[in-house]
Amino acid sequence: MWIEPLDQAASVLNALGLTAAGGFAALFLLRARRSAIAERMKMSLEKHQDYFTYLSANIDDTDALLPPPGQLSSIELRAIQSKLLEWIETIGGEYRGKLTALCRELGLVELERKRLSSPRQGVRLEAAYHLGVMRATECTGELLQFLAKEGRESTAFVVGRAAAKCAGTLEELHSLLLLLTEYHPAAHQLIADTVASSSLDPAPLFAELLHNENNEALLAVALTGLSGRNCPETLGALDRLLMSGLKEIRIKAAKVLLQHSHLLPRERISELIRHPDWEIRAAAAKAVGEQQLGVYMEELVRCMADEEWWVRHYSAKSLSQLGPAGFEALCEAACGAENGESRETAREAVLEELDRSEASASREAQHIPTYNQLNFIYRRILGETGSERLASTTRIGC
Amino acid sequence: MRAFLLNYGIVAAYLIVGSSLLYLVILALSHQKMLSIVKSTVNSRFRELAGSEYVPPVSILVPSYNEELTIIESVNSLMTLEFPVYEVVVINDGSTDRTLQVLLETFGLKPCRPAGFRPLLPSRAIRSVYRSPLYPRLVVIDKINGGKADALNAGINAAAYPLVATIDADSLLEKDALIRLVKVYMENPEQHIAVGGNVRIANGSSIEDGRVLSVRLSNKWLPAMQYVEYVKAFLGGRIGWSAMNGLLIVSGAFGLFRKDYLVKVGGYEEGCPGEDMNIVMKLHKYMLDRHLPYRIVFCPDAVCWTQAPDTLRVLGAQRRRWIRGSLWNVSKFRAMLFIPKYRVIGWLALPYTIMYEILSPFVRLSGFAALAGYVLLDMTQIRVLLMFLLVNLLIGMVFTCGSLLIEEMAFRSPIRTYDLLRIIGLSALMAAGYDQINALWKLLGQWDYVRRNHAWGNMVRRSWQDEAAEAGQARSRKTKTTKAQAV
Repeated sequence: MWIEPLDQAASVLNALGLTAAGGFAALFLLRARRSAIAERMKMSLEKHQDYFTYLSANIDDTDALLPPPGQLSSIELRAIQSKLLEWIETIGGEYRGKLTALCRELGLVELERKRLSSPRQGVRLEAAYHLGVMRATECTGELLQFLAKEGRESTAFVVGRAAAKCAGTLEELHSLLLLLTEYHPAAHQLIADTVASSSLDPAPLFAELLHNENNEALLAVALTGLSGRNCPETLGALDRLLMSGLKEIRIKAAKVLLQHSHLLPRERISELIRHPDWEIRAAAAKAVGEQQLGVYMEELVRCMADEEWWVRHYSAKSLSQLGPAGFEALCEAACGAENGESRETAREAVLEELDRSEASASREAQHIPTYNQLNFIYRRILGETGSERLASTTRIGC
Repeated sequence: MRAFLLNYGIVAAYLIVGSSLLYLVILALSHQKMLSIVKSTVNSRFRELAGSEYVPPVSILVPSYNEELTIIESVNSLMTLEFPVYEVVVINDGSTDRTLQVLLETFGLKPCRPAGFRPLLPSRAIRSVYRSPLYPRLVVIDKINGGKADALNAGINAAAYPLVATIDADSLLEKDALIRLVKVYMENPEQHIAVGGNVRIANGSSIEDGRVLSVRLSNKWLPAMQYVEYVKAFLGGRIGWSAMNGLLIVSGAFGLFRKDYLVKVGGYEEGCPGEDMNIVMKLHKYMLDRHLPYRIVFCPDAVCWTQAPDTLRVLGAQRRRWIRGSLWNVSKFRAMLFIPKYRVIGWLALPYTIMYEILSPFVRLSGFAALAGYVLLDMTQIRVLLMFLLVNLLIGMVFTCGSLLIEEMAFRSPIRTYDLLRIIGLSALMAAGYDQINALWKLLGQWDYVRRNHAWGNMVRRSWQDEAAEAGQARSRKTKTTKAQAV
């Protein structure tokens, strides 16, 4: 009766046993292969130690770097490649150019280009990565084709970064942007970072996109890429984008625009401080403090009554950055604002600024007059002594 | 009676094989996505991204309760991450030991105003906030005890940045772990609302200044077996579930979340024994109820090292708490079961959890008991019992093998061949004892749940320095023995 189930169990055991044995055999083979390659690579690196010394000693010379003498085995070539790629990744400028030229002379670019058409995706990805490090301009087209095939996979960013590093013209960077935004329309920051890894300056491309493009993802990447850059020729386009029907584009455009506050008419910043999008109001309030634009103090005081926490927070912070006059306005808001939340935000900012000023004064005597002035304003308007201020607890919550 | 015992044992064995096959089918269906995750991991480099101005800033939340032995190493490991802009928010949840004092002394922290604190989520009162001019990235919040969920909610309220990473106070992060996690988020910031890291056992490894220098398997049985368990669970299991957007848990030891969604779902739930599963279930439900596109993903190459319990008592308490957490959440979200709009969660992930967590210990233990009883009645049939054990053993071996292969291919496994052989041996041994004890803990956890016993259990911590010193001594003893043998 029970023999039959036992026979069945034996077949299950056989299948499981074979799977496990096969798997472990594969695991040990992979490890053995990896450690054998690692050992041979190590020996090759040791063998060519003098050559690496030659390279580091002569990288400053005007002459091109020479390849190692004699015939190289494939493992020696791989070892030298690994060392060169490691160096290229950590240095830039002229040195990197000399090392990439050496890679080309050693035939490494051609070798990796062939691997790019391997049937195995893992090999193709590794080849793409290596070509990117070697800035192989001549392979950009193939890398872009490869990128198109990767589509929505996260490996697209590995290929995309390689293509960006290899790109020799802004047109190629544009093609790269089109491909990445087509399949990854939300990855604005990662795409902007990928494009920024190029040897080319992408700012003119971004500026052109702002002028001529309506695609949301492309505009968002261009605006992200331009954040923190000085690009006044985009002001007209940014003005247009402030009217965009897409909220994210409006916000990003406003933030880039606020980087150029010195070039903007006064009414424009006032408009941004009063903008219907709270994110833009908050960004404008923040910029006023960061760029010390005391002329907008009244607008900031009005913002202290804003319904959005971030707008109140940045307005208070900016007022505290505008010297004694801003601090006085802040104290008045802490004392007389109609809204309880506004009063609380202002009070927090007042106390924080006084703490900060006190700490500066205790470190350097030159800050003592400023602290005394702020403390005087505080006591005059809020009527609290320093000890009362220090005694105020930080207890928050239920 | 004998026939009943035998038949029951055979049915139990088939159920075990069937559930494993189901899981293998799930993995096979998602293998394309798994391969993509692995290939992207192998070929990504993070040095450039770690210095990029485009990387969004992150607030790292470290809830701590009586962590005086591990907190300093943990914070040290967090202060030296390769990441552009981040803050470390340590939440001292009313510790009764010297957790707060060691933090204040080591980092020279001084009381300050709670700048930027927003009461977005309910949490117990905060007593003080501390900062130090020497460590501008570090913020320590001292609050009234309210449990881990409450501490995390307080941390979210204090977090200055739109992304929050949660990490246990007894864990250490690899230098590039955070940037790897954030890179996955950056691939689709609108949809990747949570990203989980890979948690590994550090017992036995060399640790210096909050960094794991070389990976070694612990010489103690329990941590070594947990190492195998973690490798299987994270590399074998979570990659597969992540590929089909069916992850039910982002480990509390290391995960990244979008703060706005944490707030939208009401934050962490106080009193829940499995807060890490609970928050992920809440996120799934919130997004699926509103038909919003989203993904909760696992990032296998973002590694966090943790300390495994090394006594049966502590491990048992931990496992019982885990099962209570699973049951609590399964019960709370049972309305999602087999409802079309809840897709993979309602049709596959939750039912599989119920099967694995609730039914599997019954089946394993009762099947084993039935066959043991059958053999006791007729000792000549001992091979029936051996076959049952062998089935369990080989299934465990297949999963161990799969996970080790993934580790080898994707991460060039840093483990030594000697340790690898031990892992295989331990994997075999686990089927003959450890798995049964685990099943028993699960049953006891279920009983605790029924009795509404929600005690956290006493997690005994050891300082990382003690752990490393002990591992070092064990290694030197072994070297001496080997030398003596050679002589």
